[in-house]
Amino acid sequence: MKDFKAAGRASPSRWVRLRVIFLAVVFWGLLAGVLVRAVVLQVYEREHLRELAQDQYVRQIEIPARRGDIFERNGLPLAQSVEVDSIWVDPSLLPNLASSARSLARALHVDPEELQVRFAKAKRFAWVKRQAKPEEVAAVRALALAGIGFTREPRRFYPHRELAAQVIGIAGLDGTGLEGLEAAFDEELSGQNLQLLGLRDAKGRKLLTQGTLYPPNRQGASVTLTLDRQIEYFSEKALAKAVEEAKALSGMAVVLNPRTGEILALANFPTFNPNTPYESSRELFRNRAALDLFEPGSTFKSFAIAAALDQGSIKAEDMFYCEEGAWDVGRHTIHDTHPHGWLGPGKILQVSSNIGAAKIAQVLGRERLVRYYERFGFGERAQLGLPGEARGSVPFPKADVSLATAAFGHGVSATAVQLAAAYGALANGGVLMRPWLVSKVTDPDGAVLLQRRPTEIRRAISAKTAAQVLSMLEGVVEKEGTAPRAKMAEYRLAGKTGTAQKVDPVAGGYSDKRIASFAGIVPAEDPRAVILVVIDEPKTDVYGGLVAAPAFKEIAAATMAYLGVAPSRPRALGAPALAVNPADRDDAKLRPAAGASDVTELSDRGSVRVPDVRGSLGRDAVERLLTAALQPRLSGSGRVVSQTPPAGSIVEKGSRVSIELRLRQ
Amino acid sequence: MTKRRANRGASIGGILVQLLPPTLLSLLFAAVGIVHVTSRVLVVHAAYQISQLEAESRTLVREHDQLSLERAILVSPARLERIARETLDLAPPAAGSVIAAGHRKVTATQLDPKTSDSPSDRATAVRVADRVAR
Repeated sequence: MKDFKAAGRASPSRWVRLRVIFLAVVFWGLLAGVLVRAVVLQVYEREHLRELAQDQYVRQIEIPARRGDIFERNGLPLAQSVEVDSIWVDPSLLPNLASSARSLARALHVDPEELQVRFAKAKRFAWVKRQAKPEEVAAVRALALAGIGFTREPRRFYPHRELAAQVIGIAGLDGTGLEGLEAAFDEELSGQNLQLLGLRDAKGRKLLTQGTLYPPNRQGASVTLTLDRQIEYFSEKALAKAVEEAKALSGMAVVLNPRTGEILALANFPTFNPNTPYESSRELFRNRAALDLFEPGSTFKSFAIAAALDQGSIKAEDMFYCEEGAWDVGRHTIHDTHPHGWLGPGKILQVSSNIGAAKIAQVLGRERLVRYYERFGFGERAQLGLPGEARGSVPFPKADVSLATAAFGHGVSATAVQLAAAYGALANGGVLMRPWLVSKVTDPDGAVLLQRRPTEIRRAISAKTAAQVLSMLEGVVEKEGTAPRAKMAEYRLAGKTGTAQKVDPVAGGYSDKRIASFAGIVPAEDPRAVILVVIDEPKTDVYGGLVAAPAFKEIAAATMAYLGVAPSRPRALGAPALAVNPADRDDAKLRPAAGASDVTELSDRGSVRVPDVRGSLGRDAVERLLTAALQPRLSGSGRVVSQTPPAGSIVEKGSRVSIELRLRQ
Repeated sequence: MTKRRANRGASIGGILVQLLPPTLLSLLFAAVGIVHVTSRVLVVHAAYQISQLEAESRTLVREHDQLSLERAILVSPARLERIARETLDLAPPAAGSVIAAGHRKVTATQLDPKTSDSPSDRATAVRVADRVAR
């Protein structure tokens, strides 16, 4: 009994132990299961699950890059990107497709049917209008339609509208360069679109958990040009006037600094507004002045004669018989506009005798003529960095007539930039400089990616020959020359007209259509600018001296005034040049009298007494100081309120006198 | 014997000793949890700040661009000429009315030592526009 009782007491504890063990096994098993599952989830399926999770709450957030700007030489933007609103829609959320499309179309002034078709095709996303105007955005916001969203996109603006439009080109809606420098420097201008992983919270706000790049690091580089917006404006204005007056097809103008080869202006007409390129024909986008070839005509005579003089084949005083206006070369006859007898090289240039130039080319010889043309840069690309730049051609003149015509610019072809650069060589003492349009490409952080400097290509002719030819070209603008209309009262200038027949591409040979041109260098004694004006198919007059020379003169006068170039011919000072405002005229009585009487020159010591210019108008003060052989330095505008050194001081000639100007209060 | 054992087992010190490890473990877990949650809150807060600053930066860049564009439009030569002609009754200076008091500095000359002017030589021409008689 005792044993039985003992066995009866032991039995429950065994069961308890068994149950505990069972539960322990179950729990350990579950724990192991959980651990195994955790390892599977965390280790083996980690990537897959991470992707699933990211799909749910992590969004790829794209921050668009800002396209770099294009600046003119003084740092003002010619092309700039600004973020504007684009409008999109989730058509599935629109209450009524047709009525919503109509309302949106009314607000945006677009075709409602087109919008409706676009919405019907899309499931969850469709553009309503990209890069909308602020007033359009406001109008759409006012509609308060469900499913409408706004996003910011960079839009390209061209603040100067038509100014240098063909040079700058255009960029598309997505910010890709399509034409001109926008296309040529697309890689540099395009920034780096930033793709970031971020979170979207319940309110749709983005959370950039990874931080972001320093803004300049995702911005495109900026491109600085050699163009000057003022000179470009003068050129485009004068060119437009010339083309319209001549009822011509088109025109182009180049202004170039002969010392450095920098292109200060590159104008084309007709032109277009790059802000609304779709309103213009694609034909207008072409930068003809830099890319298109034409037969330059008589403007080439300067180079043929320069070559012959440089080679020593002719002398400046040699005379050539110009056959009284008609000369048979083989089966062809070469004509002059007017009959001429014996002419020297200077006179040949002045009257633009084809026969004289042809005879000089004969003396020079074929090989030498071609070689000199090539030394002036013809037949090789100007390397402006624009796509599609033409090389031009200087074919070897096998026939006698080809040699003759090559001397007066037929049978050869060049771009306007090449021609201007070659005239630049004449103006630069015979040294050909590489023409350039882009001076600098700079990263947003200031690192210079590209820096151009004046590059000497080669010496085309000796300095002596260049000076000789320049002097001969001065005769062209005289009364007996072909371009008296280009003559300027204040500046000496050297130039050459060109009136080339155009090739008929259909019938072959030359047509009766013309290209009129004028290439000039101003001032002739110290060249600061080479200006080339080319007018394509003028109708009223066909001669370069009548059609292109006035435009040249207009550009030259404005450019010289803008650059502050001293006139070649001293002007009589003291003469009133301006119409004076009556109010100013009254005040003028109060100021000290201008004139030489208050200038005391102490010639034996090379010194002068500083005149009293206080109270004078700035203009009068400058005139009086210049008359006294002093160099004025101005600050401000209006009337002179103080001067340094003071009136009556004795200073050396050429000393600076600072004058402070202020407007009347 | 049993009574002694029960007294020993029920002593407060013994209970505390037995509870100490799990308590410490719990505290440790709680501390780690608090640190983790706090850090996550801080990270999310920082993410909001980054997003906000990024948006602010974009807005400022946009404003800067708009102002720069506006400035370029305002000083456009065509606009200035129109205002000069139409509002101020000015006309381009007549030939001879421009007096050159020194060379205008053109950046070309910066690169060309032959014609380079020092910054002090920036005296420009006195350019005067003629006032058209009303």
